[in-house]
Amino acid sequence: MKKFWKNTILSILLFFAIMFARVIHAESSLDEIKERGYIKVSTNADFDPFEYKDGDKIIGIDVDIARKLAEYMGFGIEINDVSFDALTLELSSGACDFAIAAMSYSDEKAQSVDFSDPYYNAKNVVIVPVESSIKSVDEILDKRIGVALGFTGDIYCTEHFPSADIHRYDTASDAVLDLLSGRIDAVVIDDVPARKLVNVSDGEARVVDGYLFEESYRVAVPKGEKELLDEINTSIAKMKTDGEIDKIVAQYVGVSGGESVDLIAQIYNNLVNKDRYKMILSGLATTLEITVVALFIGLLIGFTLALINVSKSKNIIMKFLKIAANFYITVIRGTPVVVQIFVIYYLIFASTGLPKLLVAMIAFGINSGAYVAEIVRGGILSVDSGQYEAGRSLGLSAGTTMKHIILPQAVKNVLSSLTGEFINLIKETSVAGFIGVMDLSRAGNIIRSQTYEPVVPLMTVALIYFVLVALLTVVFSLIERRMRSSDKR
Amino acid sequence: MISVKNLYKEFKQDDKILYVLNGISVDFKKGEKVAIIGPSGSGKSTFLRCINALETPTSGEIFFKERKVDSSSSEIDDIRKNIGMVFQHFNLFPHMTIFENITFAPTMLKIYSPSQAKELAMALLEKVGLKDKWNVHPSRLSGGQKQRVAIVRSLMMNPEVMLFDEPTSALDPEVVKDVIGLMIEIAKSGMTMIMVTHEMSFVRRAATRVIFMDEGKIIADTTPENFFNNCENVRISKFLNKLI
Ligand SMILES: Nc1ncnc2c1ncn2[C@@H]1O[C@H](COP(=O)(O)OP(=O)(O)O)[C@@H](O)[C@H]1O
Ligand SMILES: [Mg+2]
Repeated sequence: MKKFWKNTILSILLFFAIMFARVIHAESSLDEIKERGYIKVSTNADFDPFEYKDGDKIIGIDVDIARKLAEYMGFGIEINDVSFDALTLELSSGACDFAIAAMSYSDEKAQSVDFSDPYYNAKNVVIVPVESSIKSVDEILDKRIGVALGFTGDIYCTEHFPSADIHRYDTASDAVLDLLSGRIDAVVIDDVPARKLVNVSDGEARVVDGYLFEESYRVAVPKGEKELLDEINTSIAKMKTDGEIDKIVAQYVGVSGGESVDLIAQIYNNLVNKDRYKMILSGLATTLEITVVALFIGLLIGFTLALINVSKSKNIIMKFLKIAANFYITVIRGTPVVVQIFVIYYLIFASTGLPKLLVAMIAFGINSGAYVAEIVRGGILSVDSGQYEAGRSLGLSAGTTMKHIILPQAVKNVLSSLTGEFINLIKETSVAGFIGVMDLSRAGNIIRSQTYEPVVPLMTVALIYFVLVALLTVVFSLIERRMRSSDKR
Repeated sequence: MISVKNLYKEFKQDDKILYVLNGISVDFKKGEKVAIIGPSGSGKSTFLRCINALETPTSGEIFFKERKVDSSSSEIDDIRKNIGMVFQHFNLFPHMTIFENITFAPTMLKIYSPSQAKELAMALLEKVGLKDKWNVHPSRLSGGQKQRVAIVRSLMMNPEVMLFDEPTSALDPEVVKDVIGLMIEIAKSGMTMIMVTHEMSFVRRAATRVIFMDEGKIIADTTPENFFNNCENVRISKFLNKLI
């Protein structure tokens, strides 16, 4: 399945991980677990059906396997969801005892973690439309192939099918949607999700006989924890002979997304069934939280930078601050917010262990700050210079004049731009999902990946954003009108 | 009270240097009412703005009661409190009511307690006939009313000297006399005043001294009688003829 596709980021993370490991790790993991009484397990609940979220519950094949493993070993369990890239870091820092996330062996990863024996053999198979003429897996080598970005299917096809036209999607279900609408000829994905995808395709897709390649899923443990690794390997072997693993897999593949043909049934399945609306609501709450906090951070940064920028001081520190402020504004306005949030999450805050919601708030605050700074600067410059002179000539200090004379007028002049920035911010927070924050957009995406029905989740999310923005627009224009008329009293 | 020594001011415009003030030395005494007259662009406003450090001279010095006027010194706010300034375009604060406009600075700078400020503000507004406007915003006032409020705003600070930069030239002719009337009253109260103005009747009535500026220099510095009656300077008579 997933591979480390952000290679440079990974190496930096590893660097930190190893440093952490040196500092924190003293006692053997197994002893710690025994003392504690339960095992701490990390996964990346983003890969239906191996590990995914149902509401806020983390479930899936791997999760059940981990529970069984803990049971065999005689411990309780605590499961945490982290980003896939953070798993290595979690292991080396001792934040978890083992990681299970449909991971296969790679030399690269083996440098920082140890792998158990395989607990499951995944075959990468090919899905095609029922009526497709493709009969065997090697017929796809020059076709349009859909893969999930960064999954092993992506790596394999890129390497082995140089003449194929490879389309990369965020999730396998998105790839299957495109397959059914004829934009691509085949989808390459692990057999378990493949079976599930075909199950819910209403007989429109099928799995081609045979498989492209096989990979073994293994549990990852911190480097050098031999005792723990031995325990895990023994338990895996036992689970295999007991037939426990097959039982668990069968349970999940059998799950059908439900065949909801008409819209009412789709609405029921996507929003009501399994309390999925709760996910939308909690996503909405997260979106609002991020927006509001980011707005405050943005205003704080923005006003500070604007004041630095318009300052007439010839002080050397001020001059330096001005250059720094301009650099910040230029860089932030000159790069996409998605890239910013990645850099902030994976590079700048990687080693701090701050919750990702907080990181998202900070990232969007930093982003918004640059835009607010320019808006406010424009507002300050739009105030007649005579206002400043009148204030100063009365003996008011530069600060008082700015605060009580200039800024109130400046803000009034740019109020509509500021509210526009706020509204923009709401919509832009939709990329928070890229670092795994469950905001409104991501809630929709998760539902879509569970039901394989795109219409209702997408439209619901769109509608909520729209209503939100429309409401705010009305509220803001009322406030604006009020502020404007107040001067004419 | 104010002493100006060898004042020069240049503005850099594109790659040209504009020499606006070219060596001005002059002293103003307490109680004087000085009218500064001169053609447009001769540097009158720049000179006035140097006196309260709204403009920083290129060279030369200005002293207000032995204290150096320097825009970067920490004393400047204290000096400015004592130098009132009235602008051609009033520069009232549009987001404040008339009452707030005139009481904000004195209360902020703790010159008066809020209740004292209120008492004084209402008394002064009454005097200039604008008491009923105390709670409206400047956009509701005519130009003449705005300028009277601006003058009251300066008076509220109880300054030792007041600077006027063409206070009537943005006004409709019929309201000029209201503002002039107010300035004459202030003059009668003994205030030291330095006024850039083209209102010759006002200069005749209220000024005790006339300074004529041209090309950044003081050409004449004399009494009003001398200025209007015994004028030998060609530029001055040309200028005066144009006005009439
Ligand atoms: N901030 C400034 N930057 C550049 N040139 C200026 C500035 N202020 C005034 N000047 C120029 O200086 C000259 C004198 O201006 P000013 O003192 O306003 O003259 P006056 O008030 O006598 O009409 C004019 O040519 C004007 O264009
Ligand atoms: Mg002027």
